[in-house]
Amino acid sequence: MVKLHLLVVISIVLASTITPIGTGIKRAHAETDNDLEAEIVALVKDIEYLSSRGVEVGPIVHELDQAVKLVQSGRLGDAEELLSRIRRSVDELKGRAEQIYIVENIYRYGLASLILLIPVLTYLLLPRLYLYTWYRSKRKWVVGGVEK
Amino acid sequence: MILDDEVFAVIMAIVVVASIFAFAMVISPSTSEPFTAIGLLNSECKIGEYPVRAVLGDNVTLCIFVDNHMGRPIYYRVVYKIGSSSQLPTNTSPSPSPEVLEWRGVLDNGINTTFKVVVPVWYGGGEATNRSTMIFELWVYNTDRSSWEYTGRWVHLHIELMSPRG
Repeated sequence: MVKLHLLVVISIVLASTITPIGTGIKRAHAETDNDLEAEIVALVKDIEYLSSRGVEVGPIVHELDQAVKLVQSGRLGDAEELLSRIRRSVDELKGRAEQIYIVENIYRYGLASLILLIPVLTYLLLPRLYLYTWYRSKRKWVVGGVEK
Repeated sequence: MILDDEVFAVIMAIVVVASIFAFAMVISPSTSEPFTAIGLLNSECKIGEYPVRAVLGDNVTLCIFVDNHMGRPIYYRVVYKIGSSSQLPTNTSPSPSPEVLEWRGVLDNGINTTFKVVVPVWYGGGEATNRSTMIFELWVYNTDRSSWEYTGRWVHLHIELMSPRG
């Protein structure tokens, strides 16, 4: 009888110890999941900002997509590692984003100005170019008089 | 005059119009009408030959196509629901049926993706009829509001259900 009571007490003690550990593990897993989700969302926001600044984000987006797939398939360790790598790349690009934006704009408006110059240059240069070509093609011609 | 005036005028008109067009293309934003798209393909990721019937509780293999033209990268999820023909989503509200499965991803602007999905089928809408509707909705994460938003894009497939004993 004593042995039975002892067995019951030991079972209760074990159950009350293991259960919190079990839920703790589940809770830790859920927290990791939530943390990863929060990091993914933060990265998406940063990548949107980089994209708005004209930074090429194609490869980073592809890597982030892979990280999302890893989270979905339960490979949280791999996902966390990949997300860390992506975070480093994104942080580095954020530091250069404004500079890239300025260079992009200089290129874009410079190209637009050049395009607007084309009609002006055509008006000034086309007759000259045409005349030059015409003369070059006829330079071997000999102008002779007609005897009356 | 070697270069005829009228010919020169026509050439200038063409050059001016072309320049204005090119100028507009360079200056204007890359995506003037942003949109996303979702498509449903068969088990071989092609259009057509969709399954018409399935055994109750069995899995059906299909492919989902997602396209992004929002002018920015998007964090999307495709949500699978089982419902009836009266529970279809609209372009403003999602289906009231509960979510069964979801798939998430990140897509850059101008990029699309196609992936296989294996989904279970059972009676939809709480009605024990022999037809069910497989619904796939496209949701996108709004980073400004920090929440998922239904895009108004969905695809669905009506399927006839057979009992396991035939």
